[in-house]
Amino acid sequence: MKHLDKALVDGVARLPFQVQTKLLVAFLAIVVLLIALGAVGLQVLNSVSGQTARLIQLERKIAAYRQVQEDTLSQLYHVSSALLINDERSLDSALRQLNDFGYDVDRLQYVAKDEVAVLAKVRENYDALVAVVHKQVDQIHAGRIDAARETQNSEAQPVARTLERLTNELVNEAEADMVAGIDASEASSRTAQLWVILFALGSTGLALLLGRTISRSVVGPLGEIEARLSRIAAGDFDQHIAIANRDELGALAANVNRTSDQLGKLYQDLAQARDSARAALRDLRAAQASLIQAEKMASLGQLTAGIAHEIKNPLNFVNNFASLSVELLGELKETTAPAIATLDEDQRAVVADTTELLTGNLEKIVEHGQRADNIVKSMLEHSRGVSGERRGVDLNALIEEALNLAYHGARAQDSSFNITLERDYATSLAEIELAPQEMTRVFLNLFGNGFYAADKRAKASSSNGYRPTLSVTTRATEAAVEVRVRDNGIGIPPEIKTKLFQPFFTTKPAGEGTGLGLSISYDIVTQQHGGTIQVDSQVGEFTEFTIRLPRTQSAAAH
Amino acid sequence: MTVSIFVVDDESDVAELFRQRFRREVRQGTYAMHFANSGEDALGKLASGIEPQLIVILSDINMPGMDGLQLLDEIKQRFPDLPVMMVTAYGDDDRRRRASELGAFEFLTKPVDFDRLKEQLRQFLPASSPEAPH
Repeated sequence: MKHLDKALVDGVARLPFQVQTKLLVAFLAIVVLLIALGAVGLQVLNSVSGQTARLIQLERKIAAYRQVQEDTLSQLYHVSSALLINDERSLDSALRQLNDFGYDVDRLQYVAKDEVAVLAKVRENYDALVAVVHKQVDQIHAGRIDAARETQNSEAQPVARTLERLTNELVNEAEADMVAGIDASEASSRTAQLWVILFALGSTGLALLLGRTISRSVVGPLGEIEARLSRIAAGDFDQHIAIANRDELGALAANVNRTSDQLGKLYQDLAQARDSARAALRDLRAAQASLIQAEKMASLGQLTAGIAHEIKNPLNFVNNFASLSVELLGELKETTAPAIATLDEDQRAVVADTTELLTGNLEKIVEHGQRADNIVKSMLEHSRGVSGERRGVDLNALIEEALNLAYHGARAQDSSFNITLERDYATSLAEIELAPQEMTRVFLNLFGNGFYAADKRAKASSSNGYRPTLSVTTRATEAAVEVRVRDNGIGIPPEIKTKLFQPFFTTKPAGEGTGLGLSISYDIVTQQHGGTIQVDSQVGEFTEFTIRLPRTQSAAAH
Repeated sequence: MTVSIFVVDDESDVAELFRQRFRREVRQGTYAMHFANSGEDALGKLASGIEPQLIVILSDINMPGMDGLQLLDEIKQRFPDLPVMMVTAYGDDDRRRRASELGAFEFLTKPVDFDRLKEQLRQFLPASSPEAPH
């Protein structure tokens, strides 16, 4: 039943007509059913009224028959009266009666024209009765009363009896007809009632079925579309509405599906756009941070250079006059030697002691002045324009050269120093345009720092398992060359990572480092070569510097 | 035979420094030292004549008023054959290039390496001059 119901609803849904058309057809069907119901009712009414007409006709027939019977009796009575009273009035009355009788017999012919045989007999007997009555009237007129009585008995009475018998026959027949008619009418009325009830029930059922099927073929899909729209509103674009309808609802579902697809695509595009915007924002923030860092470095560099310039001049005088004074003191010693020789021993000792102290002090001034001068010179490297000329360079070879230089330099300073060097050079590293001297400085700096960190850890750790190592890796990407310098030394604490590239920042003991190495390297890589330098470190584990040099350098910043 | 060296610098201690550095050569009569503390002063002294024979001018670049490069230009217009050495704390390429374009003989950066300077000055000594000791 359920399957049938579903098949029916689906069938209606599949009809390729508009819902409006379907509704119109359904209403028309219901209207037709109503008209049919009315027609059946009318027909039943018709047949009932036909039966009734027949019954009335029979009723009339019976009345007519009874009238004829009455007429017969009445005729006999009038004639009998005339026989008794024997006057003209009675006779007239009997003849009038005969006339009336004649009318009633005539009427019979109209009322019961189908009873031809019996009617003929009635007519025959009536004629006979007319003849007998006329005969009696004549006899009475003639005064022959007895003869008339005799005629009454012998002739009129039998004819009247015959007439009575005939009309009785007719009445009986009509009454039987009537009973049968009433029975038939009742039966057909019952049948008709049954038909009307059945028809009414049938059409009501059919109308209900039609309405329900159509409404279900509309409401069901509407529910599905509504549910799908809710899911779409909740962001689910994966499903499609599957309905059988080929009407407006089918078109609506197809539209909703198409819209859902497009929304899904849009949603996806939007998600992608959002992701790439997020990534762009992240990149932008990183770029901003490095820009701020670069700006800070640049202004610090300028400041440093300014300070260096201001200090350089007085420092030159200090150094110059100090070394001159050492010379002058020597000359003084020489010139005054004979005079001093004349002094006594104590005085000579005091003079010699003082001279020696003076010379020592001046030499210290010269020594520290030189130190300060070296620092100032390094500081000025910041502000000096691009001094190193650029040319195409085999970066691997440049790095190898710097590595050897740094290694032997470190060994020369401290013969106990040793480290394992690991090289991983990209084989197909095309020549890159750069200032070789400047970049060599950068690498010397990084290698020196790496050696220092590894050596410091080696000296601090008592275990024999530690093997100081410095590795250099070069990699070529499409737009840049990447160099990684990694040592397994003491590492850099996070809190000082940001200060690493600031001028004068150093963790080395006073006199061992100027704090300018990384600052200058930073300038060379970022300002001169438009590259980046980044540091990654884990305290007690490693430090890794990554330098990226773009292949096409837009411009050196100076 | 004594020859003159003319040093132009706005800082008075520079004169003192040169005087002390060249004290032996001055004592021995190899060089006579002349000083000016501005470009204008230098041009004035040049105009009134420097005795004995002037073999070289050493000039600072950064000076108030007429700077060293302008002075160089002026000198070269008047004494095209007189060697002029520029002495400066700012050894940048731009100044170096401009000095060279204006006809500077040499470009020295401070602090001056006096041993090297003395070596260079020897080439301007007249042939008859006695060999200057170190």
